[in-house]
Parts: sequence; C-alpha cells; structure tokens
Amino acid sequence: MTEFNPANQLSLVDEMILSTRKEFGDNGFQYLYWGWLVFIADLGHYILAKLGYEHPYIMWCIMPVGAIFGIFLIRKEAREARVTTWLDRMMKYIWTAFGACLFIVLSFQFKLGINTFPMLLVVYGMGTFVSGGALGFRPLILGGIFCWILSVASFFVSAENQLLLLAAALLGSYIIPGYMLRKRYNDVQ
Amino acid sequence: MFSELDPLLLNQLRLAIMSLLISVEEAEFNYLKEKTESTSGNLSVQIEKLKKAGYIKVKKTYRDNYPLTLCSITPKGIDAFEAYVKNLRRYLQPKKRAG
Repeated sequence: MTEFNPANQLSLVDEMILSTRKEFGDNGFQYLYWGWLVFIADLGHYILAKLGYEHPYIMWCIMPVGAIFGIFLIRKEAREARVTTWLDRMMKYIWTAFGACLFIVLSFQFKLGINTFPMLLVVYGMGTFVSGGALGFRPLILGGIFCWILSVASFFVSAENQLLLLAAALLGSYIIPGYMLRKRYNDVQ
Repeated sequence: MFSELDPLLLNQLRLAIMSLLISVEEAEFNYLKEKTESTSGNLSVQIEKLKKAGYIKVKKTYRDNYPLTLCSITPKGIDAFEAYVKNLRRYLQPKKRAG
C-alpha cells in the first residue's frame, strides 16, 4: 500500500483540474460558420444591388438552409461531447437568447414599417460581447463594441450602405475573432 | 490536531475522479477513464463507492444505441472535496514551518 503523502495528493488534484482546462476552450468554429454565412449573403446582396439586379435580397435565401445545417452541427457537437462544462451551459443560453432576439426582430419587423437594421447590429454585438466576456477573450468583447459603434453609424447611412456596415461588423466581430479563437484553442491543445 | 481526513477520498483514483468532476458539469465514463488512466473495472468500482456516499450522481443513457454513463459531482461531494483539500493543506503547513 502506498504511504499517505499529502503533497502528492494535492499535486494529483492540481494535475486533474489542469487537465480539464482544455475543455473550457472554444475552437471558434461557430463564429466562423455563422460569420461567413451571413457575410456571403450580405455582400452578395450588396453586389447584386450594385449590379442593378431586380431582387438582390435573394442572396438571403441561403440563410434558412445554412441555419438548419448550422443548428444540426451544434446539436451534433453537443451530443458527442464527452464532457460538459459550466461554460458550455452559459454559452448555450447566451446564443439561444441571441437567436430568439434575432428571429423575433426579423420575423416581425415588417409590422413596424421602419428599417430595423440598426437593431440587428445591436443584437449581433450583444452576442459577441457577452460570449467574449464569458470566454475571457478580448477580441470578441471588442468585436461586440465594434458592432455597437457600427449600429449607431447605420442610423445615418442609406439602406444599401448598411449592408457594407454589416459586412464590416461580421469581419470585426465574428470572422477575425473566430480565427483568433481557433488559434488560441489549437495552441492549448 | 488535524481534522480526520475523509477516508473515501484517501484513495488516489477516487480523489482523481472528484478533482475532474469539480471542474466540469458532467463527464462521461470514457473521459474519466482516459484522464485517470485507470481500467474500466477499477473505475466502475470507485464510481459506485462515490455514488453510494452521495458525492457524485451517475446517469445512464444511450448515445447512438450504445450505453453511456455520465457522472457529475453533487453539492455534498463539492463540500467533501473542498474540506478534504483544506485538510490536506493543513497537513503540509507544520512541515513548511519546520522547513
């Protein structure tokens, strides 16, 4: 029988707790997936509008398909996860709230008869700001603030130029931080 | 005088299981097995002991038609683990003062 050794026992506790550290990382995939999806739809809309196409908003048709596939991937990842952390639960609620807000605004904005685009940027900013805070990842926090700044700017520009602001917001708050988050995750692994 | 150390956590594997579960919300059996580098049989026995003591909860379910065992620490388990670590540190303190 091994002699009781408090130092070894504490060392074991530290080693085990440290080994779970990797589970608290985020590989950035969701930020990249959703960021690129909306970016492509948005920029496509802008380009088609500039080319004089009659129905440039048709680019947004990729969203329902992309969203269904994206949700499928999220559920698959959750189902296959070998460990669930407190952070996972928090992130689930953050992004569910984000999705609900976005869905409600997009579904019922026609009732207001006004351009609700700035509201969308506020919601985008909320998602990255809060999740960045939860992850302790400054680029996401700054990305959220960047979204809010662009949201204010969007009150003062044309509907067409709002599309460019959205593209900039997606780059600054989802895509670039997403790649940085992926790098951080890979470095820890 | 030092508090009696919890005999249940004196075992290295049980202490390792509790250390892993204190950090996460839930972990599956294979994850615990990989991290503790133990055998399935030994891990099952120790998990059962911790479960009987009320330190952990065990949920048995299925994933893709395969049985899946999920473990999570209970509030009683958290208290026991924290008390154990606190007492371990107390054991070390007299030696530090002598050193």
